[in-house]
Formats: sequence, structure tokens, C-alpha cells
Amino acid sequence: MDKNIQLLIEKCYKRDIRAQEKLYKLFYNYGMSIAVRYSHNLDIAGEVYNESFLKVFKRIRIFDPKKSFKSWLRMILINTAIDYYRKEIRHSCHTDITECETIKYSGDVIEKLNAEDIIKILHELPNMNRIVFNLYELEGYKHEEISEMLNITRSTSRSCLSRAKEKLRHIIANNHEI
Amino acid sequence: MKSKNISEKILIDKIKKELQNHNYENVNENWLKTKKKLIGKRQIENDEFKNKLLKYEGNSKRIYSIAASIALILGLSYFIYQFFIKVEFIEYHTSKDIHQKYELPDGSVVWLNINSKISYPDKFFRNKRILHLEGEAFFNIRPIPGKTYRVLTPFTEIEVVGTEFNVKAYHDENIEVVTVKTGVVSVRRKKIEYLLHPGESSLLNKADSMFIKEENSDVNYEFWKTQKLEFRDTPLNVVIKTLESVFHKRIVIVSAGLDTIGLNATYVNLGLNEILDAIALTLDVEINQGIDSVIIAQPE
Repeated sequence: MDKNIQLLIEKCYKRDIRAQEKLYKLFYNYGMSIAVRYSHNLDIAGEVYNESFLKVFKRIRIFDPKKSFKSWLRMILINTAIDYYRKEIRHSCHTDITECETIKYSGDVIEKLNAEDIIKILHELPNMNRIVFNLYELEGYKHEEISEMLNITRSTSRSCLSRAKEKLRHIIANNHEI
Repeated sequence: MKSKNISEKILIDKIKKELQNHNYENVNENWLKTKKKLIGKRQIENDEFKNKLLKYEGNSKRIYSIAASIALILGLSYFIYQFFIKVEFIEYHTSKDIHQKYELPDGSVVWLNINSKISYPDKFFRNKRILHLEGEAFFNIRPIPGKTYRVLTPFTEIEVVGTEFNVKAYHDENIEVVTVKTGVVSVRRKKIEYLLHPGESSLLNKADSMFIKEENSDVNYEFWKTQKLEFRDTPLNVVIKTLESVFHKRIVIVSAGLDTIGLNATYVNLGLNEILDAIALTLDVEINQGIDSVIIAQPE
């Protein structure tokens, strides 16, 4: 691991506020890039990041320095985000998988999308769909793992994923295709 | 299906790439929120800790000051006690058999009758001569100019300059008697004060608190000390009363006309039976030992 990060983390053991600030800002872009995918707006993303870092500082002593801080932070971010939406989780994704339709993306359209576009598109997704899409497509979890993480059935997880994809296609098609 | 997968993959890669390379705003604003929470928590923790510490320090300071005060007070008290108040009493007791003669530090002499006790404060005896008495004692007080001498009995206070006097103050006897042999003695009982001259006595009846001064009728008040009994034309009934009080024995005259016979005699170091034998010879009377009394009768 990076020596600077190692040093910062050690200072964070002593609750050195300057070290905490450095660590917070050092991983702000990385953390926000994850938080923003799970949240339905930027404010919530900020809250998720903040909440995650409070957890980081609180649990910094149990962090294993041999492991990647990034991975640890990502785990905390994801869990924090999931916790944020946990109340809604059980009541979502009751869509049939059957209506999953194939819509082709135009390569050009995707190529034109910038970060702000993507954030907007993702924020338009229903919370539950967005979370499962993130976990499955971007984090690489399997439906089995997702169903455990979210305490839902596998079929619900699958249905959420297809709903998310379908919605994405619609959003992209409506707003960005000529 | 394949094209779909490819385009999806492109989309996901694009999302990852774009989001990771994006510059997210509000890093400082968000950090301030987190900092507030961090410092707030810490501040509260610190404040609690400080408060506890302050309380503890305050308490311990108070405790220290209290402890110091107590120590100071104790030290001072001990000092005062040692130098001004602490009074060690020296005590002399006598048994029920023998009387004793004691010489006091000021040169005065005290004869202590049986079953008696005197005590006096050791430290200040020379300056303020006070002596407590229970029982009977004869005092020969050496005069010290300007310094009186006080004898305290449970009921009266006697103040003298330099005299010889006898105090009889047994707690189991109803009458306290002060008899003066030489000099002048002041006897106080509450607000009543008598000045006694030689041959005078004060009598206090503890039962009715009657406190009087009279001519001393008991010429043998010193007997317990001197073992000397003197009778000068003393009627036999008075002699008998003296003997009764001195020897604690009941003596009864059974024949009429013997009461008023006068007796002239001096007995030194004699026991009751010897004295009675002497009286029998002198007055020509018959004396017999009864069960619990001595019977004096006209010979037949």
C-alpha cells in the first residue's frame, strides 16, 4: 500500500483531524464515484460518503493495513448506501422479467455520454433497480450474493436488474438518441 | 443478444470510466459536515472528560483543603490542649483500713482518712491550688502570699489562705462538716458563704440542703488522724455518740441516770474495747458486748 496512505491511516489512529481531512479528501473522487451511482442525487451521494468516512474513522483500528484501503472503503460505501435505501428494498422490484426487451444502444450515443449525463441517467432509475444494477454490473456480484446482501430473493434481484437495464435503455433512447 | 451484450458492456465501461474520472464538487463543504460531526463528538467527549476532570479536581481540591483545615485544627487543638487545657490529675486513694499522710508539691500536708480520695491538677497546682476531695481529710495548708487554696467537695467549695482544717465529706454520709483548727476558712455552698474561725464548723445537710455555721461540738474530729480522744466533763451520752461515730459501733445506755455523768479522760492509740474498759473503771459502770451493740449499765 501507498506509504503516504499508510502514514495517514496511522495518524488517524490518534484521531489526528488533519490526517483525517487528508484521507477524506484523498479518496473523495474515488468514493463519490461509487456513492453517486448508488444514490438518487448528489446530496445523498455526499451524505453516503460522509457517513462512510465517519465509519472509516471509527473503525480505522480494525482496518488491516495489508489489505487495500480502497477495497475496504468501497465495501463501507456500498453498505452505507444500501443501508440508506434499506427501508425501500422489500417493496420494490415486482416486475415481470418477461417484458425485458432488447434495445440496441448506438455506439455513438454512448460515446457522447459524459459523467454528468451518466449520473443523471442513473439517478432517474428507481432506487432498488439502480442498486442491483450497480452491484451486478459494476461491482460484479452474483444474484446469489446480492440476494444475501439485500435480504431479497434471487428472482427479485434478477427482476430488479432487468428493470434497471430496461429503464436505462429507455432513458438513453429518449434523451440522447437522435 | 450478442450485440446487446456488447453495447451493454460498452455502456458499463463508459459509466465506470466517466464516473471515476469525474471531478466531484463540494469536497470542502462535505468535509466540513464530517469535521463538525467528528469534532462535535470529540468536543462532547472532551467536554465530558474535562467536566469529570474538573469535578474530580474540584472535589480533590476541596478534600485537600478540608483535610488541611482539619489537620490544622487538630494540630492547634492539640497544642492548646497540651499547653492550656490538658490537665493531668494526680490522685491519692485510701483503703477502708488505713489513713494516709500526703505531702503536696506546694509543701502543704494532707491526711487522708479511710475510704477517701483527693485529686489535683498536676500542671497548675503551683499557680492555682485546687484540690478535689471525696471522703475526709485534714489539711495543713502552707500559706503562699496572694495565692489561695481551694478544696472542692461534691457539695461545697472551701477557700483558704493558710490554715489547718478538717473536711468530712463522705458521699455515703448525709452531713458534710468543715472544722477549722487554725486560721480562717471560707466555705461556700451555692450563694451562702461562711467565714469559719478556729473552733467553728460548717455543717451541710445534703438531704434538706440546710447549710449552717456553728461552734464545733466535736472536739475529737481529728481522732481519725491523731488517734487521740479527749473528753472534758463530757456527759456520757455525748462520749458514747463520739465513740459510735469513731468506731462505727452501736452503744446503748440501759440504766437511767448514767447519761449525764461527766467524763474526764484522754485516750491515745486505744481501740474501742480498751477505751470501754477504761470508762468502765473510771465511771464504775458495767459494760457488756451484745449481739450487735455494746450495752452500758449500772452495776447491780
